Amino acid sequence: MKNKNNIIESLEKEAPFLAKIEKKNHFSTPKDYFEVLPQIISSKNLNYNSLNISLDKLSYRIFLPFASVVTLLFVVFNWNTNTTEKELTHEQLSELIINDNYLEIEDYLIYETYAEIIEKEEIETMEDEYINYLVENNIDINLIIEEL
Amino acid sequence: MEHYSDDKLLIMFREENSRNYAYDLIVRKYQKRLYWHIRRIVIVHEDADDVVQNTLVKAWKGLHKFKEEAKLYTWLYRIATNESITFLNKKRKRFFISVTDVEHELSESLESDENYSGDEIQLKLQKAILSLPEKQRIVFNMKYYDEMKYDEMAEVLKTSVGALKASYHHAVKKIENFVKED
Repeated sequence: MKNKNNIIESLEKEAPFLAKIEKKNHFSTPKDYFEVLPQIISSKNLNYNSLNISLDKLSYRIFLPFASVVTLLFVVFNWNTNTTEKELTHEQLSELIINDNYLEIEDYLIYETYAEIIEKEEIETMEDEYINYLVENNIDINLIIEEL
Repeated sequence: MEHYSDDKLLIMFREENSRNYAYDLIVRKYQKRLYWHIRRIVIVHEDADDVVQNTLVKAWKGLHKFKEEAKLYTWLYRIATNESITFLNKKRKRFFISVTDVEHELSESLESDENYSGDEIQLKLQKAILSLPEKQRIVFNMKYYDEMKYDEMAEVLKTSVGALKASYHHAVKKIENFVKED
């Protein structure tokens, strides 16, 4: 009360216009607002509590063992699948292609390797043809090399 | 409803069996003071409702850590003030508006607010208060409307009593000049 009187007194000296204005709360709330608010807060806090309790239970009884199992499975799975990264040799790929087992291999690998094999065979065939031609026409290959 | 002291309420809160009941009593004891403090900062009822709910939920979460070096109600006021300032800052960011414009917006919303019934001079007073810088406005409201002591305000706002006195003095002068204008 003393505090209140001090405020009014000081305002009368400092701000006479302000001191004359009636100090009243002109804001209002919807009907029964302050009856409902404690219930809302109570339900929010209870929800927070139950969430906290269930998280605690989850973390100790379910979450930790579950996380351990998942981590273990992940490690084991990664260990096993690491071999898929290995490259196959040309012979292995050829065998797979010949036996029609290449469906499991990524397409681009087959085409690349298959193209390499075909190219090699073509080069070998061409070399044979040149040698046959030189032999048939009795041409000495050393003379050609010397002239070059 | 029984009226317990803050100390008694805190003892009850620490007991697991009576925690919910104690907090309900704390809410009922302080909800009006907190709501009106928040409402005078954020102006619109819907916003004040959001902020007061956040305040009371945060207080629930933090009450077990509350140290009795401070008074319970100044601690609650502190949460309410911080929540209100955070709310206004978010509002500014959300609508890309400046510090002064948000007060201008609040001033306009006051005129169309169905939960406000002040006459012309009261509306002018509210606009004058809204023209103050945010911290000064809070200081003025706490002193003028809530009639808080400077040392309690210092505890809430973590400012010195001297700074608060100066802030209140400047606020009163500005409001007086605003109200005097035709």
